[in-house]
Order: sequence, then structure tokens, then C-alpha cells
Amino acid sequence: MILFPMTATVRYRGREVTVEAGTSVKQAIQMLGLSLEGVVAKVGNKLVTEDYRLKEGEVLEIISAISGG
Amino acid sequence: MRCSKCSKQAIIHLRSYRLALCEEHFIERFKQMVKRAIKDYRLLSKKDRVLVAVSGGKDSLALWDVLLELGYEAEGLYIDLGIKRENYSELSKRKALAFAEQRGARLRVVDLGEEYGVTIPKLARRSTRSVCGVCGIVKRHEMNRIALEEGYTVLATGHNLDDEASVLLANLLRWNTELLARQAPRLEAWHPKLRPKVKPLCLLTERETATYAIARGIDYVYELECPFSEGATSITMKEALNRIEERSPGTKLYFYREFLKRRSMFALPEERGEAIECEVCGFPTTSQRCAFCRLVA
Repeated sequence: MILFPMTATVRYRGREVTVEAGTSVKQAIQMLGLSLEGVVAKVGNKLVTEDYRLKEGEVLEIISAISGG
Repeated sequence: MRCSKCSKQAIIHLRSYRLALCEEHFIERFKQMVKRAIKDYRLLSKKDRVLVAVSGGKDSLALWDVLLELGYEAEGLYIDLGIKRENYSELSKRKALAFAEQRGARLRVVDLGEEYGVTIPKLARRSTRSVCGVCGIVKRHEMNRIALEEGYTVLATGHNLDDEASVLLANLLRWNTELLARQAPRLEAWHPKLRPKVKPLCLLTERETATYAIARGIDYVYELECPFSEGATSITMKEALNRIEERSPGTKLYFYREFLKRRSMFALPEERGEAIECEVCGFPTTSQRCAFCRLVA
């Protein structure tokens, strides 16, 4: 019997990365090489803090807060 | 993570304050921080008619929203810079108009193409200045022009703590003491035709303004930055400061506030040449034509 890991999705600037369910928002942000101080995170329509752990099938959207020029 | 003030789910963790806040308490705190900046740095009074420079991005829309919530007479000005790349101007204008309609607030729109037959990319090609430099001249001129024509008493921009701290860092690294002496949450007008310019979001980070905008349901241009801002020094400075902030929460705010207390130690700028009026637009300048009119001529 083959068991497939439960996964969730992390979306940033139009790119999507699959992660294991249970990954925290902090882990996802760091995996992308981003700073916790420069982004906000949403799951569905809800803003979430860095300790939130993704459930199977959830999509974490990471939005850069940094503007320039 | 639970809100530090109630048992609801937190939407933001403010490490520098050791505080986690739910939506309700975060919005309340955001407004308090704007009120604090206005009070501490004497930015505005309720008698002011405020012209808010609106770009369609999170900071300017958050600023406009919070000023309206706090009961200020605040109207918006959107300047269509004619940036077609990535449909930037069109998208940002749409967001600004949608916000104004939703809030029942007045938004003045100035289209550079219609008004002067130019766009920022076109002006930048003609000039030796950087695109951002050209854009700054244009926006300042038009903000002051509209304020004068329509009787606004103060200009407000959405500059936040990250903007201020990154400019401060850049100026310190280059020891640009003249610019350091001129950096402040309120810039006074040096001529009757100009207006003071204030930054009520100066104590709030970009992360906080983004969170406020999302929590308030403000539809802003997510991650659609001005295409000319790619590689900007300000982004490099902000990223560096964010890394420091991660390791040492509270650094950005301390850096900025302590600088403001010590600002007078930097050399004052040399006396401006006697101001005359631009032969084209009548705005103050030290030469026959102001920088704006030399650009658009």
C-alpha cells in the first residue's frame, strides 16, 4: 500500500510550492528566503500568524509588504 | 496564537511590542499609533483640509482610510503617471477610484498625459535624472498645485516607518547631512504657495499597513509595484533592516524615533537662493523656470 503525504500549497508572487501539511507559516516564509518582517500571510480570507500550521489542502498566500522606489 | 487583549485568534504578531492582536484590537491599535504620530509630531489638526496623495497602493489607501475614520476632512489626489508597463497606472487608478467610491470620498484625478501631454517614462527619457527623481518632481509640483487651487491646507503621504528608516539608513551610509537635516514627519512649507507635507503612518511598518488594509477590506494593488522601482536602493535598505529587525525586534522604531530627537545635530541646509516665481507656472523656484516646467517644456 502506498501512502501519499498530506500536502498543502504555498503561493508567492504567482508561484506555487507544495509543502507537507503541518508546515508552519514561519517555516514556509523562511523556505522562500523571505523575512517575517516583510510579509503578511493569508489562508483563504483569513490573516494568520507565523505559528499557524497548514492543514491538508490549504493554500497559504504570502504577500510581500515591501514597496519601493 | 491568541490576541493579547482577548481570547480571539490573532491576525498579527508584533514582536517588537511582544503583542499578538486580533482584527478588532489591531485596527484599534493602528488608529492609536496614527493618533500618536499626529500628536507627537504635530502633524494635523481637525481644522485642516487634508489632500492625501493616493497611488492605489496599501499605504496611501490605508492612510486615507484611517484619516477618514479619525474624522479628518481628507480628500484624495491620484496622479496618472502614464506608466503603461504591466498596466501599472491603469490598475492603480482603478483601485483608487474604487476606494473613493466605496467610502463616499472625493478623489481628484490628474492625468499627466491630458494635462501636459507627457508621461513619466517620456520625461525620464528626456532628463538626466533618474526615473524616481523625475517622478518626485512631478508629484510634488502637482500636489502643491492642486492644494493651492482647491484650498487644501496640508498634504499627506503614506510614507511609513520602513520608508523613513530606509531613507535614514541610506542617508547615514552616505553621510548626506543636508538630507538628514531635512528628514522629518512634517515638512514645513517654505513659501506661501506651497503646503506642509505630513506622514501620519511614520510609526507603523509596512507589514502593519498591509495588515490594516487587508483587515479593513481595502482592495489595493497587491504586489504590483511601480515597474521602475525594481532594484531601487530603498528596497535593499528595507530588506537589510527587516533582517536586523528579525533578530532585534524594535530596532526600526528606535532607530527612527531617536534620530528625530537628534536631528538638529546635522548641519542645516545652506540658505536657499531668493525664491522667485517660475515664469511658466508661478510656483517658487530659484531659477527662471522651476524643475517641473523645465521637465515638461
